[in-house]
Amino acid sequence: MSRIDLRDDRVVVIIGSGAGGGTLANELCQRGVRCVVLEAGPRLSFADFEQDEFAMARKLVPADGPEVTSRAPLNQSRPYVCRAVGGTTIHWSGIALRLQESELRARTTYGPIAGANLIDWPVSSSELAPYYERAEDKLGVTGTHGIPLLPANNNFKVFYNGAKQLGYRRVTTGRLAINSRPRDGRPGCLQLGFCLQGCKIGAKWSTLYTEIVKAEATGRLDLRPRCTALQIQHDKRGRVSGVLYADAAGRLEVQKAHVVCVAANAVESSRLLLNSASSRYPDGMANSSGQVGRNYMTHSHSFVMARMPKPVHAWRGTIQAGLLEDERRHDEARGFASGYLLQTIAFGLPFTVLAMKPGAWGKELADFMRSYPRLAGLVILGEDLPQAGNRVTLSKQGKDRFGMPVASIYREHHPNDRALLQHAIQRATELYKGVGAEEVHVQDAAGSTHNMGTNRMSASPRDGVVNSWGQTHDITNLFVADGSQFSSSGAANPTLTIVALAVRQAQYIARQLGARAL
Amino acid sequence: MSDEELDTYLASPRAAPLLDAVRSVGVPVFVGLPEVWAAVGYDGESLSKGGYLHRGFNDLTWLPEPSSDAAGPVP
Repeated sequence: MSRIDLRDDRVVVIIGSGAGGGTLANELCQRGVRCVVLEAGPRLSFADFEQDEFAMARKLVPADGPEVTSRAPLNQSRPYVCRAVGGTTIHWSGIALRLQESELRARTTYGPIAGANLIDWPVSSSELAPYYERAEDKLGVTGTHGIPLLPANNNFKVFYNGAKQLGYRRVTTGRLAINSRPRDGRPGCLQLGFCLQGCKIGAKWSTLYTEIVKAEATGRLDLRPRCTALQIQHDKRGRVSGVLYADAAGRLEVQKAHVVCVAANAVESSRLLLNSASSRYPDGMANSSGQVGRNYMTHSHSFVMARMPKPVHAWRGTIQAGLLEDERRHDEARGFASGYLLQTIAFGLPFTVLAMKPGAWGKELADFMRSYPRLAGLVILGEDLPQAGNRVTLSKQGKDRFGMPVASIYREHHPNDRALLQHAIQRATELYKGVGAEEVHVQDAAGSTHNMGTNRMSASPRDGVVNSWGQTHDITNLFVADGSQFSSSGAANPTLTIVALAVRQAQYIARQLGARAL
Repeated sequence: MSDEELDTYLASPRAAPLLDAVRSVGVPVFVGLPEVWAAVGYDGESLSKGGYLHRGFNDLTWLPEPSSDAAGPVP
């Protein structure tokens, strides 16, 4: 690992080390570009991962996170964002799916929808295809590059049989960035369970032990864990010039920069731009459109778990190895725009109880807990339409330990999201009833851990914050490299797209640097 | 307070905030207890036993096996 001087203003400074930041750092280092990565969290090792849901939540999720408000009752707590080297790639379940052309053309496909702030992405699926290809190879996604699918676990067997009796066809163990056999120096999956608590053996891809390590091997990366970016600074011409951050000891430092890339996970990235307001940029950095913080999306997300007549032991094995894609399409006959996926899911007992039966007590709780070994489960993941009012602003009261305002999230559901979830819950219930479910439990509109939008990509600088390269419309040497760039959410877990966009952005930055255009 | 008075109090709306507080603290502790896991049949950590690859991740036999194009081979 190299040590880069604070006054060195020829480097790229990347804020965050997850799917976007970690990948971008490696891709830039491989192309000869020196990078400083500022990561607010610690660098954990495999030994730090615990197969204990509460213990890992305490290790990964910051206590001084954003506030969440809504006019309507919202079944969503704080976003589950990981603060550690590797970011949320430690926690993710490994589902690696491409966005479809119809989703990238959201405004064109769905037409105008009242209350939705839809635009098309300024990039097409054919432009993204080579980068998706590269991302799938990098992550080792099952079902691509000759990599076998993961085997069927018990939870999948229930899901598969239920789906087939409903006539569904596209039902597999899915595209997962989890090794079905050893690959790229990482072992095959041992069906440990606990994918969300950090894979103890590294069968699941995380930037922590792939991209970051490869970037360090080039000698061009200076990774600084426990360093929290507080503000992006600019020069007299308005170009970004450095990043003010607090180091592990709480000392304030400024790292000079030639280019800055923000990849702190959507909510934190837009918060940082807003916290970087100055006399030149009074509404926050890169915010001439007023779109920074707006169009916050998660996914339309509900859990459905069924008590089956015999044991399932769904927690034994890869926790999300089951995917149904038939409903991922735009079909107005269903009464809503866009589509959804059904994905198997199983938590440990603690998270199952808290996710499915919050507030339960007495006999209801006891009965549910007794049924735990017989539960089969899935999660609905549907497109969540962008709304201008669903947004991140700066809290008026809440401050982090450095005195910077925390993010305040306002979110409410669009009627389309409600209609989509209603349809999906109905189908999921039929799926399980058809193979003998005795009781079906639904946790409706539970918050997902996906954070998208708030610095969205747009063809016109009026409609969004960044162009198709993730470069801010306002400031040429300021980029966004995480899910906050998403113009719309699609019905796909966001990580693969974040990685593909980071690869594409690295290529663009390296070329622009070579041409002295940045 | 007699037992009867206590029962009446706990069943009354006035006790709801107290019971909510007990629940919100107590249930997460309760569901995290290894003794409770054992009673329910939840295994907890799996690494020390090598995961479930050779210990029943796919031992469900009361439904037909998925077709070979839906899932990969067991390594």
